[in-house]
Amino acid sequence: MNSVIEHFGGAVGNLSAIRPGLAASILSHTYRAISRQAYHHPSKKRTASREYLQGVTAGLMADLLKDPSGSAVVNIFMPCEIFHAMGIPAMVPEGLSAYLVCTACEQPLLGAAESGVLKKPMIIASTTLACDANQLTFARLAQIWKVPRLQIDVPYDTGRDAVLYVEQQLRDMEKTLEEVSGRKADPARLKEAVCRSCEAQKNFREYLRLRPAVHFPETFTPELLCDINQHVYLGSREAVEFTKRLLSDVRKAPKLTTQKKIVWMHTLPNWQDSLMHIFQGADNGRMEIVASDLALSGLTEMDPEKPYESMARRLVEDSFNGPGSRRIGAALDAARQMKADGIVIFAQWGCRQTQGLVMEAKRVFEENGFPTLILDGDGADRTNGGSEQILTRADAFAEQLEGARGTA
Amino acid sequence: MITYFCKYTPVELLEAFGEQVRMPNWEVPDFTEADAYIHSSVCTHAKCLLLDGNDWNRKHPENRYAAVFTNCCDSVRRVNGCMPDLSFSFRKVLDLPHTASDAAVFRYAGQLQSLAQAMAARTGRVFCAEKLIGLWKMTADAWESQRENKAETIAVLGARVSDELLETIRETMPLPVTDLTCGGLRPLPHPPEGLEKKTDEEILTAYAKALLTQIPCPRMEDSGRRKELLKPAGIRGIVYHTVKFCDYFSFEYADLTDETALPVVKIESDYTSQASGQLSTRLAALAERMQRPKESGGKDAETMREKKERILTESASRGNAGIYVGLDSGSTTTNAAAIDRDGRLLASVILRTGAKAADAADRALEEIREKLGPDAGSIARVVATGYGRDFIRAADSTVTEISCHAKGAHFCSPEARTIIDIGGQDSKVITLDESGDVSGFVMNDKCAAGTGRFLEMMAGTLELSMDEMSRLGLTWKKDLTITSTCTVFAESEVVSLIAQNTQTADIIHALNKSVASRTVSMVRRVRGHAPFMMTGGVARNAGVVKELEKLLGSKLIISEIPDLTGALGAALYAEEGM
Repeated sequence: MNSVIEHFGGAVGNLSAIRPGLAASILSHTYRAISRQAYHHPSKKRTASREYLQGVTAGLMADLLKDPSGSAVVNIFMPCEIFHAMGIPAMVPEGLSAYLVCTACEQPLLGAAESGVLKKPMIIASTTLACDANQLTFARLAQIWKVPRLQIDVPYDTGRDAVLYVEQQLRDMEKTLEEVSGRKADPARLKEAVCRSCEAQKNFREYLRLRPAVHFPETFTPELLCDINQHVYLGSREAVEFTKRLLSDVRKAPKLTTQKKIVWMHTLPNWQDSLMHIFQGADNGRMEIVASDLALSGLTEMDPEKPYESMARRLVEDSFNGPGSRRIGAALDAARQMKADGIVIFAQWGCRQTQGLVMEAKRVFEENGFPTLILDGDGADRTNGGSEQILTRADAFAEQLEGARGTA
Repeated sequence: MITYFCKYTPVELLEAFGEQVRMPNWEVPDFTEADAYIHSSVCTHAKCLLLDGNDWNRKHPENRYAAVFTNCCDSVRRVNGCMPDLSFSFRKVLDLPHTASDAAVFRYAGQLQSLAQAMAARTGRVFCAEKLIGLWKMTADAWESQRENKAETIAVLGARVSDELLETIRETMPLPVTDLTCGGLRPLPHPPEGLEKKTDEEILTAYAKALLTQIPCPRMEDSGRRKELLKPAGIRGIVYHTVKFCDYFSFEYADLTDETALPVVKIESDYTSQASGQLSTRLAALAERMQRPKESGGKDAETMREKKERILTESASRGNAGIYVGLDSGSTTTNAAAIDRDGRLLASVILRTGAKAADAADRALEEIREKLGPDAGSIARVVATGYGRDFIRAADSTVTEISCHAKGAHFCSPEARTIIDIGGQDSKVITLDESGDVSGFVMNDKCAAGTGRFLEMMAGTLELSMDEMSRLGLTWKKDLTITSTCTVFAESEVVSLIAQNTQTADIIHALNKSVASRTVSMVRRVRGHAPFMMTGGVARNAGVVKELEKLLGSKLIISEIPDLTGALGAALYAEEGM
């Protein structure tokens, strides 16, 4: 990590303990500056789509830190078309934590809430998908902030009953949002939001079709942005714009040469310099992430005429829902579609769902000809990371894949 | 026989088909077998369950494994998918909702109907609603009598405890123990009146509702109702249990300590039969707190001050009256203190413990005898404390290091309210009331980070003595941070910093900050407040002390004999005839 960022983050982190309001203000201004830079002076070394969504996300974070009183805090799997249609900004803690940690400000979300750096939003809304942590963290946040909280209970099976069960909860959630925000939900606007989701999904599918043949200058942060775009941003104009730019980028991109194509499972620890170095895909990058299973997990066909049912189906059919075999199967399909050279499973610290399937996943992937690396680490808390250990494993995996090519 | 894992399992429904049921709750020697199937950081109880099927089939080849799962938590969900290749004679997974809403009850009732059909096929019997209602009523009656019981008891709360650990708790506690975890509790409400006259579908819906509205597990949406567990009037103390790598109970524990005035001890187990030292220390400390009568505050504090004036200088005038010895058998050093009836410190010894705690204690006692000379014959009583306390042959009795450190610290500085003790293998923070009685404590978990051993390891890596490390740590120039909280990974970071030619003083300062940060997080967990006192050998490390003071925003009281505090406390207990 850049030493200037490190010093800045450390200073803001220290400040948050004594002057949380000032720390929030500094962070908000910083993210605003990042947002403006990404919009007005995009880096030529980066793809246009990445710069665009980076700007959108940084702007959202700046708003959140400045005044979150009209916003909702949601988890990444929450179908947000309802929020976009009602004009309620939806913020993802995973995104914020990743942002804070990327600025070396060691303030995981709960810490940010407890210290007062993050002021209370209007409402908290989460799904039981994908993991237990959602219930714990969001319940705790509601307790700290003393704000209303609702939860969508997502069953494991994918049958019609399960979809109906979720559909009804989504309708109830819309009513709660009306009560809390004082805004009226408009069916026409919801339909438009789902239309935008369909457009973004269509563009993303086309991007995925073209992606295996080309080389991107960096693949770590953009993939993280795809994860967010293909979930909470779905239904927004920005999600459509991002996928349009993504398509344009992939069409203009040079052909892939020596980099090994990787399908990544789970979150991306994009603060980790060592991994960025290996996966950036620039001159010295050895591996390139061509898809992540989180970005692909909700690629369900949606019908704007049936918005609630479509969102409900997206939830229950998400590959992160249900038994581990469903997620393993989806990742295997992705590896085949993307013509991947290998698969990296990031066993996020504390994510029992992913940790619980890594051994079985590795067995299945390798039986199907995909060398697999299990990387233990933490995408949101640097103190749980063993950077040197991760670097060695990733380097060795690159060597393994390059060796395989050499003998092929 | 059907195996089940979760209290939301419709046990009465299974029994209504004439099946026997079992809930496995056993420990394993280690997880070598489980780690071949599932990541090592998955909940250790779940990993035990993973092995249950293989174990069962080995022992009962004619009666293959039959199990009903619920997808109650992430770990158990994955266990269901990762169970080693074994042949089940029956396997059913219930999709357990997170709420008890009408829609959720309807869904769960559907699952029960499907299970009833599967059970009918398995047993060749038809579903008997009358039998189900009878069994359900028996369960509800049992819970009602447990809830109304006013007899004094120690409650075990939190995550399910193994049979072996529950037995240890029962052996240690001064009162009968009630298991209020999901392993020992089935708090079903009674069947509604007239249910017998309803249809099977309606009965199963009512039963689903009873299951979903019982006192919830923390994974349920209405987990706030778990406070009902503390309603029985007879609860006098709480053992709060968490399982390694189970995420559900830490928040509840944090709230509990705010909401109850009962003495609480938190223990964490990993469902292995090893390393019970820390557990037994914590349990024994709770038992000690509950057994000891409250001493009168002001008067007692005054007496302690008087005693202190006499004690801190070794007296030349050794009387021939009784001498009392405290032996603190720690993982790094064995410390001994001898005092006379008037509380004067007559002799003290600090030795490396080495491989055998009992031998080190014998050596320490021998050296004390040598120092006492002819008066050695007057040793009236020896009290042992520390990890090795139960193995010390010369000890007349044992007291935990929690109580001994509190006693010794209060003796040296009656004004201290929070004691920070950083020892070799563990670190602990103890809060005291005005009388010097323990009002709360926390210990580090099974991890060396933040302990004296951590600093020793790092001194070894830097090729420094502990004294040199203490001195050099004050001369830092660049403020670095060691981010890893794991000792081994932190050592990697240190090696990496050495390779980058980082100044040694800056590395030591980063390590001191790391120790201080972990310690202060423990202070916060136990809600410690000033005045703070520091005991243990690390109190002699000026760099760590300085960082701790910075983070606490308060000066630390450090006695002249910080490493002898535990032994001194034990000697004081000996004097009191403990």
